[in-house]
Amino acid sequence: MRVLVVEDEPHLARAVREALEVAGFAVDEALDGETGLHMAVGVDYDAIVLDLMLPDVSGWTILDRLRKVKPTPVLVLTALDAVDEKVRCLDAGADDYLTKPFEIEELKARVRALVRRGAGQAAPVIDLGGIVIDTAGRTVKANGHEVNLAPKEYALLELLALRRGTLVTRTMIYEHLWDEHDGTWSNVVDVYVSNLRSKLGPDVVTTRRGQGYIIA
Amino acid sequence: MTFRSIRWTLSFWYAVIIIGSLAALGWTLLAEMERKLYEDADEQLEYWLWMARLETSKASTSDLQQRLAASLPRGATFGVWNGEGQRQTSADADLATPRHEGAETRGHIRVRTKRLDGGWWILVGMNVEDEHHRVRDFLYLLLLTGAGIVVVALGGGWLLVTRALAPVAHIGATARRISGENLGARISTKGIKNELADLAHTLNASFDRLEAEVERQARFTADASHELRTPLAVVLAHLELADTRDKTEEQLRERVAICHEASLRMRSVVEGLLTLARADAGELKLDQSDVDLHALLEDVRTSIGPLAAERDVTVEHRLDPVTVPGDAERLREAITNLYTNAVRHSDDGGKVTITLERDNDVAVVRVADTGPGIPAEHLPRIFERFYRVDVARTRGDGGSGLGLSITRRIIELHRGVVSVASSEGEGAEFTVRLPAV
Repeated sequence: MRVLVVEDEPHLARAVREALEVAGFAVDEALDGETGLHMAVGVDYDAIVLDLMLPDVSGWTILDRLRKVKPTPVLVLTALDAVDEKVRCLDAGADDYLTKPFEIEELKARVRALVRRGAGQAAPVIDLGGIVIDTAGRTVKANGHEVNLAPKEYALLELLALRRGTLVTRTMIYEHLWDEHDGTWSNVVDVYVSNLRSKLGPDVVTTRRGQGYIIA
Repeated sequence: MTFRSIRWTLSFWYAVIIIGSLAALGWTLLAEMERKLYEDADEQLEYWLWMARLETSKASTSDLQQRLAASLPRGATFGVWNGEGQRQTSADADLATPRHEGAETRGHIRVRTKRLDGGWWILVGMNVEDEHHRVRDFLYLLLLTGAGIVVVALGGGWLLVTRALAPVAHIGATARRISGENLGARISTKGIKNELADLAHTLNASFDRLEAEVERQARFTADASHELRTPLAVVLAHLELADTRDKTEEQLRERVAICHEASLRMRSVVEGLLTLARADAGELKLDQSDVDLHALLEDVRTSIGPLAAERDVTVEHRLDPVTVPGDAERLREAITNLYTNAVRHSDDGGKVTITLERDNDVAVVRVADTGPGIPAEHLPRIFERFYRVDVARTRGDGGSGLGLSITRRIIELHRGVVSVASSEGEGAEFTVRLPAV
């Protein structure tokens, strides 16, 4: 899952990025509002972490412009803990907020929840019939036994599971699993798919030749 | 509505004045009318008196009654008394003996009395009942019209007062709507053209100032909150990551450095806020002495030497010897902020020029840099707390966003002024003027 972090304080942006990377997200960073707006509108992120107080283009503007074109889930970071401020940011189109300073664990949990709900999946556990994915613990069980997956294998499985029943193109997979700095444009997806099949059984992912993949 | 309201007070005094004026007018008219009637009667009686006296002065008093009755008109009252007070004759049996001369009214009879030689008294009188009725009728007429005038005038007055005070109710209602949450309402002056319009304008201007002040406060709170919470968030997040993610000592050292930097920023913001809060509360005490500005500026240049060297900025001094009264430490803080700003905003390899000169009784310090300058729209607000011209550029350089506010407060406490002049692309020049020794 790919997340955009828009935060002008570089050290805070870095902390958020590292924390989300640990949680298995592909993370892009924008250190000013203009870049943030550009990236938020241009890329289909699974969630955006947005600081409200930015030097050039404010978080309010980004939220406003983004909401005109995209329903991407947005978690707002605010320095104000007044109820007014929280109401204002939710009413402006934010999906959740976190007051600075915040706990890294809470940030990760909220982003996970936003990503889930953004994909129309409210429950943290996805049951594919025999294969159970726990999105909170990032663990997978096949027929009751825990299966050890590499981070990208897990991310690919989760991406397909969250979009169960719909076709996921290779481009979408690249967009959601790798951040802007990863230049992985080989047949790496095929490798991960075949790994998943060997670990979870040949029928877990169906290939639509020339189009993409689907979990039925 | 209470009876102490303007409407009731105005109406009450209006009524008092109208009723009083009408009563005075009526009383004057009545008195004058009565006086005129008696004057006419008295003239007549004077003639009667003369005729009665003529009859009385004839020798015999035997047929005085008949003679008097014949010479005076019918219905006239008369009486004559001799020197011993014995009644000689009278048209009316129970007339009392007169005691003094003059005219008086007894019931409906106007009488005149006259004393003759030898102690004799003559009295004549005429019935003035008709005249009394005329006066009474006139009184009734006055009361009736007076009451009419009072009713019309009070009713009209009440309406006028109500109309004149209607804007006051409107002003009050608007003022009540204005509160901490809703400062946007203003009194409409449409249709008000009297002094109340001035009042409404004055109140609106007050509301404007109040709104601006509340907005400024809210912005300040938001800024202070942001400036403190962001570095705190950095510290907290990196400590948590150090605990869960980092493996090597090098990674940990980097985290420590980040946390240290964020802590320093928090310290500088907290210290700045405390200084300003003390100044606002009037608790910033100045340790007065004679301060050699020349030496102080040299000191400051030495202390910011490392920062200037890091940025490759030359700091040039052109100083005259000037001494000012003041607190050396506070002045050093104020001046250091200007030097630091100038160095920070200079491009690498730039030059900061400081001049100190004496202009009559004023010490003038000018700090000029060769940086990008300050756009005109930012100049009026440059001394505001947390105001940053270019946040992206200045954040993370260790500045608290409070330096210029603190400088201005300190200079003001020394009864000086600090000003700024700049045009974009040509650097900025800050000027401090302090009373010299």
